[in-house]
Amino acid sequence: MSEAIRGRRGATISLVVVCSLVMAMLVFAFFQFAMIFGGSNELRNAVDAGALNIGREAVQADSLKTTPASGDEHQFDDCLDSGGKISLMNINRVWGKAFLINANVEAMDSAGSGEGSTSSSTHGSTIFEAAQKINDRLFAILNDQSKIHPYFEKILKQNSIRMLGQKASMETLADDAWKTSLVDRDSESNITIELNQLPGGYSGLSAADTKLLDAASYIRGYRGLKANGKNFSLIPFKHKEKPHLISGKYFTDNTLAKSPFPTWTNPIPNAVSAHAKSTNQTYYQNDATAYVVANPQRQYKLSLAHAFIRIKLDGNDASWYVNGIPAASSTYGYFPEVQNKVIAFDIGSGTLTGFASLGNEYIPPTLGKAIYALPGDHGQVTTKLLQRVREIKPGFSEGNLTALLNAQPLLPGVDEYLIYPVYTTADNTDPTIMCQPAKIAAASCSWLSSGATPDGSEKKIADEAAAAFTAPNQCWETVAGTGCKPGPFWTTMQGWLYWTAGSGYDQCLGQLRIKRKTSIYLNGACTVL
Amino acid sequence: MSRRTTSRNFTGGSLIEVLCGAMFFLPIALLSLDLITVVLTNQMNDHLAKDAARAAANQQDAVHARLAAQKTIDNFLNSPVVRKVELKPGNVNFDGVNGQVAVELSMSVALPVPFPGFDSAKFTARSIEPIVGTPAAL
Repeated sequence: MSEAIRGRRGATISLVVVCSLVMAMLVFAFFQFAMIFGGSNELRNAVDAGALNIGREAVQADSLKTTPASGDEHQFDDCLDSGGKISLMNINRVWGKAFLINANVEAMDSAGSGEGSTSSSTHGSTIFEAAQKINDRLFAILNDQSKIHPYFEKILKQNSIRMLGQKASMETLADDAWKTSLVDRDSESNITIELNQLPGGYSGLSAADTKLLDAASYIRGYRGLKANGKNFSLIPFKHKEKPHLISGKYFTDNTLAKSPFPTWTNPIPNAVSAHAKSTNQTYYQNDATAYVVANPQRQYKLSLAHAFIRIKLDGNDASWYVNGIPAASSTYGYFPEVQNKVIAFDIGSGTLTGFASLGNEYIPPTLGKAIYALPGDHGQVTTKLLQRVREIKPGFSEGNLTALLNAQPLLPGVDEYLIYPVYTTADNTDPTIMCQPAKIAAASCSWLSSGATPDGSEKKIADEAAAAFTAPNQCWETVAGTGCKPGPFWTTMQGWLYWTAGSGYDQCLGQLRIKRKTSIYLNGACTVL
Repeated sequence: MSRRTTSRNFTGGSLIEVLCGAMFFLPIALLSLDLITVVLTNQMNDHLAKDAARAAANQQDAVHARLAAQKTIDNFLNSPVVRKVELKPGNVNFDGVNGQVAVELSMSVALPVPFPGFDSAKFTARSIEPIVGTPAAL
């Protein structure tokens, strides 16, 4: 019995010791797990931060940009950033310009328009192909993970994962987990539009293709638009959003593999995934993937930034009639002048001297007066001019146009005036519309190709007429000779305004040509005794 | 008489054994409490530094970045063991040139079971995030 009693001594203490050891091991194990999970969190946070840097730099890093190559790609020189390049930030401007030019071509070719030509149709295709080449280069850049790795690693490696070990570090995992995606389909792009910018005769974009936010209409992105038989699309960048992380499922569901976008060859992505792993860790290796959507946080207005409209004053003719028979012809300028002609009578030896006060239709001598000089239906003139100016500066009103034209004085010897934009920003936004003689405009704007001609066909868009005794130009006469007497005299006036539409290729959006004529009717007779 | 002595010696023996064992068991248990606190508050500090850096990175300038980071810390629901969370001036480094913001936080923690010379811990966490609050360069 004493042996049994002695056998039980110390049993509790050994149990306690064992339990203590077990507890110590459990605490140690908990500590290790906590370090692993904590380290895993640190890795994930670092990968998130690195991915956010991709979202930030994808729209502005120099190595993720492209420049226009030679030839027609320089039609997009007005879409470049301040460094002369194209990136995710401004590729929508490139496609917006190509779209607008093709919308012009479609309108010019539309039934009954008569404004199109072989040139304009060709230019529509040319500008589309040039935009596609720029697009393809940018697509290749953004899908080349090796170009993106440096921006990821820049932030990744500055964060620590010390919970995975004192020497633990991170490195990029260059594998097929690096993908791109087209997210936020049908959301707003960073291009605003005013529907009255679009030419009459084009109906491929309606309010349904836009989204109204903060009193501005944004063209929807990753949504096919058609113009001139071609497909266009912009990239969505949600309004007032910053680059941010998104879920893996949302990203994957919108990759091209899972959700194709057939109407756009090489569609530019707006989201990227990034993958990294831990190295030199004490415990087992961790890896993490993050998904980020980029956003330049800059908006642009749909426009043809480098473009102009020409107003050509094609001279004024004066036709002299004596007794209904054409007797002489002359020309006159844009300032009041008096001309006279001496015409011999057919019968007898008397002469008729006719006088005409011409150029009075240009009082006051402004370009606005030169366009709207005589009575007539100028509706088409205003519509065409205004719509084209709005392609340069959206929101330009009829009042603005009237003020602009009336502020430009007619200058002696000048018969061509340009309406064109002047920019103070490095990226050609927010222009001031000017109207100046062509030579002055060309001298003040290095980008302006003032000699460029519109690529459409000329069409008469307005007739003017001033009836007898109402015309601003007047005539009178004297007769000399025995038995010669003067008869009635009067003037009539006519005007014709011609519009040649331009698609915007090579800058010229159109030309308004103005021609006027004053007919001077003089009468008199001589009695032969 | 020997039987009574044996009986008295046996009675209370377990108690003594438990008490002796407890001398090992209790410190381990109490230390493990402190260890759990250290691990959890360290992770808490890391998370807070990340959140503060993320908030600062969404701002457009250094002043607003610091305010955003401070607001994140002010909104932090303090644990009873956390004595102080400190964001010193100069610990929000808003680098607009390199496009990143670094936030460094210090968290002072009172250990639930103070030992002599080991009654508190101070953690420092640093988080670097890219600045996403500014628009892309023109």
